[in-house]
Amino acid sequence: MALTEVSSNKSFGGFQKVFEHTSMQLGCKMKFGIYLPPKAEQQKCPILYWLSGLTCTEQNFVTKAGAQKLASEFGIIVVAPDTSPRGCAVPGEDENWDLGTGAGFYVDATQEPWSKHYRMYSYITAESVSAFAPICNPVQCPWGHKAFQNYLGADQDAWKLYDATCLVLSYEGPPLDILVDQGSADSFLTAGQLLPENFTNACSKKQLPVVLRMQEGYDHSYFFIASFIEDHIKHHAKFLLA
Amino acid sequence: MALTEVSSNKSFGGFQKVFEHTSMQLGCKMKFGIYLPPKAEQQKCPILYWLSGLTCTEQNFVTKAGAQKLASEFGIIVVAPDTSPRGCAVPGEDENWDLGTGAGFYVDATQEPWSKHYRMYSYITAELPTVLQKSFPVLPDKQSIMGHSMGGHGALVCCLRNPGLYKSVSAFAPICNPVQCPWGHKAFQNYLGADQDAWKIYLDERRMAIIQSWKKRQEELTRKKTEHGVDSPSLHTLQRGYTGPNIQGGGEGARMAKIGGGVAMQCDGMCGCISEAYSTSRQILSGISGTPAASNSISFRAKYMGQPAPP
Repeated sequence: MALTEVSSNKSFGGFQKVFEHTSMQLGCKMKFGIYLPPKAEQQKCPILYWLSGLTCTEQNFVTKAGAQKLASEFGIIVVAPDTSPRGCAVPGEDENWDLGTGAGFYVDATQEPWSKHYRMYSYITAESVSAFAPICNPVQCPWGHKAFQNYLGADQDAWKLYDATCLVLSYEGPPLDILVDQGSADSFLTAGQLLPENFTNACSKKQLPVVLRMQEGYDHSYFFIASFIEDHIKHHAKFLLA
Repeated sequence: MALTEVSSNKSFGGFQKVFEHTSMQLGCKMKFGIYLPPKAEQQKCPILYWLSGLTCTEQNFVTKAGAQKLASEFGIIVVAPDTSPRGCAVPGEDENWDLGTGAGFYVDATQEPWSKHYRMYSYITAELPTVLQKSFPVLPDKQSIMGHSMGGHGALVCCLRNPGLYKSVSAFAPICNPVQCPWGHKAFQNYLGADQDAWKIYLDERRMAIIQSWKKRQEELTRKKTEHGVDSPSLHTLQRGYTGPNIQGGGEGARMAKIGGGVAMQCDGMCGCISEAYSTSRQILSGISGTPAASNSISFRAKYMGQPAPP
């Protein structure tokens, strides 16, 4: 699988690059951002994946989050994939900002016309977990209903496989340490799209350690992310560098 | 002059905001980014200007530079203006990425069709500080300036042309010597016309040296005045720098006048700074033009008021 380098900029002593490759899962060309810290020139480094939200491409995190500084210091490779397949001419994929292009929802769709290309779940593999203003309980919120109806059809058991709150309740695996930051002035929070309290309740039931930090006055934007990204990278570094 | 808030996002404990206002200098609505650190809720803060480069708006710095964290820690207000007037329908302003829209070059253009709206120099050094002082908790005497590329050129020029107005200056990859590079040639030909001496006022190695010696003499003069117990408000006025196209100030103190593409300073002689002002302005003009120092006082004033700077 050939990788083409799209761009390269020196950043905090390392390199912020963007590559393009053809994805087997998605059946199209996909870009991803990758930050290579200085340490990567001499040795292998742990990898931290960043998954962007609705409407984003691989650019948003790379440009706005300010993660490069700490990634450089800790010697962590940070990868930011795109948020959906692109240019596959799936009917209807550009009609909504919260369904289709830029809105892959990290599922493997089972329904037409999505199932051929919308396989973001398989495209991505996540190792450790932290989140900013996550959609914690999609089966209970408008965004989730819309996406899952279209991608996964009416089978609500299929939906639960893609709902963090539901998955926590049946989680079996190595211990996880979850960090969630959430802005209190986030309009999507007040609109009932995010539901972090459902998630933390589920974590308590399962005794899965989770830290939910309500950040007073912060909204949903990359300004919020940039304000706290260092804490997240430090969180991951604890596990990746151990 | 009404300020409209365009956006506000909490950031590192403070607020990254964007405002819009109508600029007198530019004759259009202008946006600027302003980061207000947490400290600004209790007290006035120093202000740091960021001037962006070609093609930028007020957004680039706000979104990409990551300045908010340290601005928050240090309690500094950071202001990022736009890089040119917008929407003034100046013929040709959208034909080039390095001339016109997004490419104001921080000059006050003297040539048509630019001269009416392309007055970024005055906007940055005179109008914007006044606007900010009216609406934000800024310490009036504590401002510094920095920028990138064309903005680096802008920061250096604004600082060097206005000794004492900024406490410090810094730049990223600035256009250091525009009169010697293609970007500068293109911009200055169009904005300032063929008079290359008018160009040089926007940055010149010789001028840098002149400003240095001006400062030294200013310190000497202040010292002398302190010894003799004479206050020197005029020196403050001199320090303010260029304030507009017409003669500013009145009564005591120095006045600034715009003459063609150049600037001359004159003093009405009511305060002790008269020799300072004249020798300074002689030096500046002669530095640009290469003419020997003019004689002082009346004849100097008569020669340079309202007339083009000497060739």
